[in-house]
Amino acid sequence: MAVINHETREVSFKLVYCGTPMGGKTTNLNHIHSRIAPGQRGDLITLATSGDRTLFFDFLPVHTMVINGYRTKFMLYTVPGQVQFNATRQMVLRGVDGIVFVADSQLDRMEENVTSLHGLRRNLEENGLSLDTMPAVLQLNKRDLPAVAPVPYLEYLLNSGARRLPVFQAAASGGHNVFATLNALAQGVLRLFHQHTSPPRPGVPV
Amino acid sequence: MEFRNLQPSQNLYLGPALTPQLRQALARFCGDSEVRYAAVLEESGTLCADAGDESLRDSGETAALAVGAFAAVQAVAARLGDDTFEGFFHEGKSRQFCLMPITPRFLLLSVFQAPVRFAVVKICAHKVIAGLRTTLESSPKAGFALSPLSLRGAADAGDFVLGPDVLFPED
Repeated sequence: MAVINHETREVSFKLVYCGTPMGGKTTNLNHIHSRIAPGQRGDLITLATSGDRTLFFDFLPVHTMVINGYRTKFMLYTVPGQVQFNATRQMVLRGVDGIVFVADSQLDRMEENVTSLHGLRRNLEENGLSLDTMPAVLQLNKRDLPAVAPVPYLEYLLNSGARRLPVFQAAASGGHNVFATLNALAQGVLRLFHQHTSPPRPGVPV
Repeated sequence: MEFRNLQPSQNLYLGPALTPQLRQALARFCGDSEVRYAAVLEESGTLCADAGDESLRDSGETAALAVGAFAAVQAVAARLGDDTFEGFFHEGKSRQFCLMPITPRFLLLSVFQAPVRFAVVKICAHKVIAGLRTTLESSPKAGFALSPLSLRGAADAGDFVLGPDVLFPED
């Protein structure tokens, strides 16, 4: 759900990084925070346990200028991956405009990947949303590690639904494809916003 | 990219007249209650309007945390058997704040300092909340007339810049 403020000339979108526990969601935001131009971002807020596990959410606002002179802000959130934090995940998903599902490519994490994806689908449904009808991308993370599953297998497990999500093979700890993932989702959210808020053109059926 | 035939969730339009109305109400509230800073927040974590000490305004971090905290405390209250949650109050030694619902979707954040008393803020907050609720509920809903893409007419819809693909370059 975009929030359009005509007085401050700002449009805000909410993007949420979901996925397997310890799969690299926070690492994505850390990399974006460290490598984006300081003028394009706010502070990175991290609410984590002493063991660096996300307790509530991470938050990073980033912005650009793409809509008719409107400042366009993307509020990036992560959710905690652990099963016991499902209520928190539901809360953070309220009003979400786009999803990055961060999967852990390591062979021994397949069950967690599938469980997490099913949980995400359920939580979106409870918010009246669906992965099949909203902008979303699949990031196959940790491709730099030795014992990773083949990409076709991961796609078969995680991306064989009614709609095929765009896929990025990433190694978030080194930053590989972290920005590509963000840019693809941001573009997808903007395209959808454009399609559904542009005025009808004369002679063009709506 | 595979983003065709998707459906957006419903957008929230804060029209050109609405935000100044909200800000005026908040400014009056600050004056009446000696609240230092007040803001209307939306449940997805967006700051809609604010008034008072501008040094307390940030890029959205406070709004995101406040909305999350409110939802979390409300959920805890419900799980403990209380369905009458009316917000919460942080009593700090110097700076204090309270979060109260305006509608199920919007919250009022009030920041104040000792010796201003919460009871006074609460009374004033109830008054401003009634006004803010009326203003928010009577505001126009979504429509092409309020889209940034239609501000200069249909012919300018193409001004929406989808390229370059890299909205956020990596330094």
